[in-house]
Amino acid sequence: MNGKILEVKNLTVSFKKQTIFQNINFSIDKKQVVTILGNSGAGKTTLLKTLNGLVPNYRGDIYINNDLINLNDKNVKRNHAKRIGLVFQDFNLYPHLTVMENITLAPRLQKERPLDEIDSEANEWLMKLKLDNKKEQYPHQLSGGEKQRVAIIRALLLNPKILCFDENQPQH
Amino acid sequence: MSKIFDILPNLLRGLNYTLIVFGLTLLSSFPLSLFVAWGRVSKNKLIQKPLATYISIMRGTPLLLQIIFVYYGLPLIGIIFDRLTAVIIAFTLNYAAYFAEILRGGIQSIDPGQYEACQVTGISTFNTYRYIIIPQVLSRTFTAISNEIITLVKDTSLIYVVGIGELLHAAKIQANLHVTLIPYLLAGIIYFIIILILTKILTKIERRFVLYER
Repeated sequence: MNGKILEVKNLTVSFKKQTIFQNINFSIDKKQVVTILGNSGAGKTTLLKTLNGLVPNYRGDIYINNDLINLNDKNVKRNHAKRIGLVFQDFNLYPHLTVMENITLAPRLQKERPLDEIDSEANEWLMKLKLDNKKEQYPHQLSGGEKQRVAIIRALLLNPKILCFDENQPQH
Repeated sequence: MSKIFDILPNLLRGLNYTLIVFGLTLLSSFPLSLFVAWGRVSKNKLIQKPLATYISIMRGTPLLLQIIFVYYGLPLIGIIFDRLTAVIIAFTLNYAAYFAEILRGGIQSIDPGQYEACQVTGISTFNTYRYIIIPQVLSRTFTAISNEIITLVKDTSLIYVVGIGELLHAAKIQANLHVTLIPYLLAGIIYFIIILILTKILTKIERRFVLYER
């Protein structure tokens, strides 16, 4: 039984004539935590974005749970949020939505779980990450660390198998 | 004073047309402008280019000329509209172009990270626009849109050109009839009151929906 959750083969990304990275190969086992190190501009963010389906026309193969995932296929991409999630470097919270709305919008729109189940799971996470008194607040009313935790809950509520963090150092 | 009571009912009848043209134009041009703005930011040149030409023509020629073209010009090629329909078509096309350009600026000002956040959480393009992009665009462009709405009230005075007796047209007739400038003064006061009420409503909407932006 292969314990690999993610395998990347010969991954290449180029924008116009500039190659961001070329022929990357790596694999990650289930429950493994991996840190990617590299200089500024080395392509760390682009790699995470590619794995999350944000970079079209990449070359190479991405396997999740041994399944080849073609992220240039719209139907495959639509369900990709259940496979892999991303916490952005600058969080990308929705400024016009409250904390609760930010974290529950995507699972609500998926319509795969009852709304009260989504809400109670969201409330549990907010309690765990000490944000339960912030759920009616807007992102601009939060500190950097609080925004980061909201972004993490937003990704976790979709129950992805893999979660990527882009330069998410703990903030105080 | 008695003159005022003679003049006022006639002006109020004219006001009816002013409000009809204002209301119908707003109701038709704003939804249309959302589609035009969306088409303007589209990567598809077959959608983008014709819309750019349409906006350029609408913004590059006077509204008065556009009304004349729709009412007097189109019948020459067999397309005939009654006065009010012609006016609404011209106003709608003109205002949709202006609204669309404001909205386009708003759409382009949205951080690409907002689209990316939607994409990685599996939100469809339609829902991305519905729940994330359009609310933020409306909030950011609210002041500019409000200005256009207020201008629209005053622009309704242009419909005299097809013989519709709107407020200012009614004032002109009354001024000639009574040989006095009072009807113009009254018309000015009525315009001012309408815009005052409209400004209050728009401010209330702004306070309610634009609360979050910092």
